[in-house]
Amino acid sequence: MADKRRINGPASGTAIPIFTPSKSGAHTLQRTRKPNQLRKIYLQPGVVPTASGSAYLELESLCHPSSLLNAVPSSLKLSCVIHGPKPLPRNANFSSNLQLTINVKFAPFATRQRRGYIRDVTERDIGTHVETALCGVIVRDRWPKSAIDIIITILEAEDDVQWGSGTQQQNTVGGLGNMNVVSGCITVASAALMDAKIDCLDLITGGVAAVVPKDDGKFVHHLDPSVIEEPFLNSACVVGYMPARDEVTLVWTRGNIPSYSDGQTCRFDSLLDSAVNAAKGAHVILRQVATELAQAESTKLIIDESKT
Amino acid sequence: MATTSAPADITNHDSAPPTNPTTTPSAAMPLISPHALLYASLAQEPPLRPSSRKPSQCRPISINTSSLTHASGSTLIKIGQTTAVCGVRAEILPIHEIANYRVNKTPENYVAQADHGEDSPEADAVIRNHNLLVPNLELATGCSPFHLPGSPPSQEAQSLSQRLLSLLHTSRVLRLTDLCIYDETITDLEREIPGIDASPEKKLKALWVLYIDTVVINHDGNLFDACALAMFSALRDTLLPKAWWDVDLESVMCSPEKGQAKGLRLRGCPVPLSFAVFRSNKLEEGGTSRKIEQVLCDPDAFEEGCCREQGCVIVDQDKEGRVVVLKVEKNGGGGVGRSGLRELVERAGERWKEWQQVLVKEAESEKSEN
Repeated sequence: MADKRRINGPASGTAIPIFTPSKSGAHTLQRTRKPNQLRKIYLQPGVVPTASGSAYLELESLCHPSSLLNAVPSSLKLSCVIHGPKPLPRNANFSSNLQLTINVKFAPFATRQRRGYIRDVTERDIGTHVETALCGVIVRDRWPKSAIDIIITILEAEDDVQWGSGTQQQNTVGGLGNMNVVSGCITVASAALMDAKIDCLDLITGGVAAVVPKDDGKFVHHLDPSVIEEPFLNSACVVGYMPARDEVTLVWTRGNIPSYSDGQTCRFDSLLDSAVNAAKGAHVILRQVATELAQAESTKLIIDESKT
Repeated sequence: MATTSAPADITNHDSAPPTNPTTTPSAAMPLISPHALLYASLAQEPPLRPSSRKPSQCRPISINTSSLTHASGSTLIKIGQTTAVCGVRAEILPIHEIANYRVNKTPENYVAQADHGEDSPEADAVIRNHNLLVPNLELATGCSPFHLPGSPPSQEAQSLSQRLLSLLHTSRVLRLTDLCIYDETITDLEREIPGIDASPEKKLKALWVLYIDTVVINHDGNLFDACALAMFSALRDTLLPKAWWDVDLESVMCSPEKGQAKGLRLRGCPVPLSFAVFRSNKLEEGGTSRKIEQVLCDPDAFEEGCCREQGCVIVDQDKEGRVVVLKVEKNGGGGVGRSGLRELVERAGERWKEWQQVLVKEAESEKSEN
């Protein structure tokens, strides 16, 4: 059924281009970062002046000069806008808490396959995860009978599987790209909440960690993994974490956590700790942004006062 | 007021309302009384808009191309505070999947004509009839409080997409020859006949379809200009991979090599200039107000909300450097007459030059990055 409110392409549908395997072989990047080193984060609040709060987040791209069209690694680019708090509509039921509406949408050009304009299951799923993480941080009983809209647009998502290799990958968990998206969404929404000056218990951030097998049969934890650098991983975990309260509001783990041979006993806990460490790393950036925002606010206040 | 004699520190602690009720923050004025604010600023000599621009002054444009990985071509554009991202995505439409495709009306003839005469109307008809260009606009990104997600695309989004589509078709920027994928293999029969030079006969097998998606990040007026410029810039940036018909697989294959990919040869470089006409209400305070009618180029969201008459002039420059009008749109009133439109076309010609500078600057920065 064609969407009559948008411009549709050819009725018979179109096929995505299929590339021939390149002669230079698969392109994999070796992870040059340390296992506990995150990618650089660019975070800017206040990109949409008409909204009550907004932020833009971009991760460092692992770009390398490539002569191939289909082998350019993508980097996460997210924009978050908050409208509200605004009164609930008259016909809505009474609510003593702030109503949260989270809307996560991939731009049509965000992923390897073109996305439609109507929200699909993946987007709703990511939205639910982000909502779980944020519900625990917003002081919701501060605003009875009101609602906020949190809208996250994913301009560029991370790849879920490695491309260009042509071979089916074994021994890896899917969905790492989406986990990185969830973690980025939490951080960017937190910055936007801060920009909107909505009371929160703490600055929440997201973090991802993965268990990566090494050649010698041991396992290492990599923080902020990306699919391009880690072709094989056993499991991955994303958390929403509040450092000041040492509280985790969201945990999502995938894959099989291996049993360590060398007496490392706790498995899930150590993976969770790694993810929390990743979140702590992102928190440094968020705190810096908060400081800059507060400084800009205070200088603006001084200027306003000197005017009057 | 009675409080004038009292010391200042006492009045501050008083529960009485402040003595000066006119201390409304300046930021709140556009919300309280937009029309009066715009009137007051345009009534001064010389007229100046609330954004301290002259009526014919446009906001500066800045662009950043090729920033999206998964798009064949992309542009981030900023006109003042208005921000939009445009991505072009190429997909393949095999000829045999077109339901009403007729062999006796194959576009090969048209293509041949387009190769010779370059500007055959039939070639444009093929682009239009097979929907090879699919521009869409997404406003429901929270870019303004009036466009929230969870509802179908607003009237504004629908009309803008439609205007962009019609601009793409009427300005005829794209050439059909760029969008054709051929079967150039030499059949065994041809190879076996001696004496015949094995020059392959081009058989049209598939067409490229360009999905041009624009996501508006911040809506501060003049979306049409922003989206159109972003779209044209993204099309200039687009690289289509080398594609051919593989006889064994019976499908189109593409080469991943960047060196073999080709850009689109666009016809000209259309530049739009949108305007709005502000007309003072009859019911100004006191009834003594002067009647003003002012054309505002490149209106921002606040000005767009106050003006009913709006329009757009789309121009290009021909080889001799003359400004050519491609399209004029105007509705909502009769404020701009013939001479007014002529001025606007001239102004659009200046905008065209500004846009060329923006493109050159971006191309240079792109080069220095590589």
